[in-house]
Amino acid sequence: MNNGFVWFWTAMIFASIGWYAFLLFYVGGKGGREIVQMARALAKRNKKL
Amino acid sequence: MTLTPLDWTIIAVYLIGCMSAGIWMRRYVSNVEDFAVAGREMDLNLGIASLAATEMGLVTVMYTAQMGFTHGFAGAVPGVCYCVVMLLVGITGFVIFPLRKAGVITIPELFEKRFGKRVRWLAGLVVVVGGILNMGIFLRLGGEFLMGVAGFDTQAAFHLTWIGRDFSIGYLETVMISLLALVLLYTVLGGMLSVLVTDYLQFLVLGMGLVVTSILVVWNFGWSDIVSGLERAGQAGQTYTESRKAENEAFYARMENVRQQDGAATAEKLKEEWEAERAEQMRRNAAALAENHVLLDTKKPNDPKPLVMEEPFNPFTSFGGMWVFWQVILHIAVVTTWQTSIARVLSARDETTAKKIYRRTSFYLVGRFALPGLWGATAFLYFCARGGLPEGADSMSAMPQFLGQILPMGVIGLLVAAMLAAEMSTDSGYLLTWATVIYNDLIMPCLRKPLSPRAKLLLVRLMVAAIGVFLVFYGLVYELPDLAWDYLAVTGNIYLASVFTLLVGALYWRGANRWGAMTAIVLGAVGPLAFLIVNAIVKDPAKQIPASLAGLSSFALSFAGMIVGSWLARALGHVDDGPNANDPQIEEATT
Repeated sequence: MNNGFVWFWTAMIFASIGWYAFLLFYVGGKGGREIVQMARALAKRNKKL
Repeated sequence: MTLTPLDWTIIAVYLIGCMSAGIWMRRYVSNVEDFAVAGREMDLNLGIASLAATEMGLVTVMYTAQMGFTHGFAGAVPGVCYCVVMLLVGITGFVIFPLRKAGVITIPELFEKRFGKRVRWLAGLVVVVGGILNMGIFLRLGGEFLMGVAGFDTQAAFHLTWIGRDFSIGYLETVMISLLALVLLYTVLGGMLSVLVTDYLQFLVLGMGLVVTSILVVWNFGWSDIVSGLERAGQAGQTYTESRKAENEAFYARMENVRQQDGAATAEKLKEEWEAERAEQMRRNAAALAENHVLLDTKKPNDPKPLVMEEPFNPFTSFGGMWVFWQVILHIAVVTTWQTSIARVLSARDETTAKKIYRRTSFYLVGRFALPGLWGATAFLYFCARGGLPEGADSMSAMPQFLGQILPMGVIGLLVAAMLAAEMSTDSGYLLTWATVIYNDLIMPCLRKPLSPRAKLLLVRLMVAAIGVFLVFYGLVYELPDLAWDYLAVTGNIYLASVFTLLVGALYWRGANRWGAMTAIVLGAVGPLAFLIVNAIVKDPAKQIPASLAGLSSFALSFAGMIVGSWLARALGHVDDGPNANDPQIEEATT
């Protein structure tokens, strides 16, 4: 029984390390662009007001 | 101290970059909606970064590492529950879809539309009390981590002489106040807009710190050695617990005999002598105990506490089935009602974006528990191999001290910057959320004349600052129970149970009414408040209320309150669904 849990936690921990590393680049790149877009949209709206 | 000039440079660059970006966003804030929900302009990836950074605080790292230290990998089970539930909610849109569609700023605002003003106010009060108590230990744990990893003594203090008087300010208090001041500066000025941008930077630094540290921990110790070490520690822990239990039973039987023959006073004296002798024996044999996987918590030198590893892999054996079941229920409520997560749902561009944010953030939550849990579990093995914990260390401070000893130059700086990021993103997100609820749901409904936009902004900013000041004092005064996670889960439960019940009632049950809602709020808070009060008074662990019982009972009582209260109100003719029960926005959102 415990062997199954050991495999499960091994998979979870290594997958987490991999996932965090992937998100770092993926969300990192796209999130930066979204901040610029958000700032532009807000600036445009505030100008209208 | 373990920090080198390179480490300090990394920390300084991070802090300057983050503060500048946060303060820069101030220029885009023109009203309360910009301040509280970023003008609802947040897109998917920024939402993921912000939600992930907010939900991964330094306090999270501390308590999840503590769970790993005491329960091995099994301590990461709340992360798995969190992930599965968030994924399911992200797929189905349960609660979050209609909530975003309703176009409200906070959850209690929805309650007013469905149940009336009083329910909104009462729900707001419960949300604020539960939320702020929950956040009460964040600054302290954050300060302890930073000092532990940097190699400072948490008991040390600065001594000053000013106008002939001596003053002393503890290092810990100084770190806590400095952290708060930094967070307040950009949160008060830029609100959610600053929080989003700083969260994004913090997400990057935090992610880097977590990945690099985890790889180094596994690299240094070897995965198979960690697993086999935990197996041995779990078995040794079980043997030690059983032998200690038998020893206690034998002593209490002897004490009972003495009580009957020589009276209670003699028995008490005998107990005191026995406890003192045992404490002395444990202190003398600390190294031998560590060799057998038993560590000594010496935070209270006269009362050393043995720390053993519970079953490290199977959560059902380690915590018990009831505790695991409570975690599942708790996380359904967390995902659908925790105001800081919901704030991201409400800030999202639309309902579909909100669902996507949930789906894509879900697996992040496994690592939130599993990675610091790995550090905590490895810290346990590390200190066992080195003859015990350092003087004054406990299950909470062991992990930062362990990292401070094993990480190379530069990586410690990255880790401290990452943890500063974690602390700041969580504190800012939480400060803003609870301040918004106080303004939106407790103060605004009581005002007869609406405030000017400028006064509204000033009010929310003052609320943010006031909560910050409270956190410093509460963090210093409150004494934590054994597991910080139990404290956080139970204080969160004060509002999670009732608000979850109300949300489900408001969005999915036409029979729900004001009376049911009021009963649910009151009954939902009973279990967790009883836990906090009774356990603060009763010192004997055997007589204290288990956290899982307090948590589960609050959900059961809250749902029962909603059903029975609504039904009774109808039976007695008090059918009152609130002023806007048929609000087209609510109607549309729930269909």
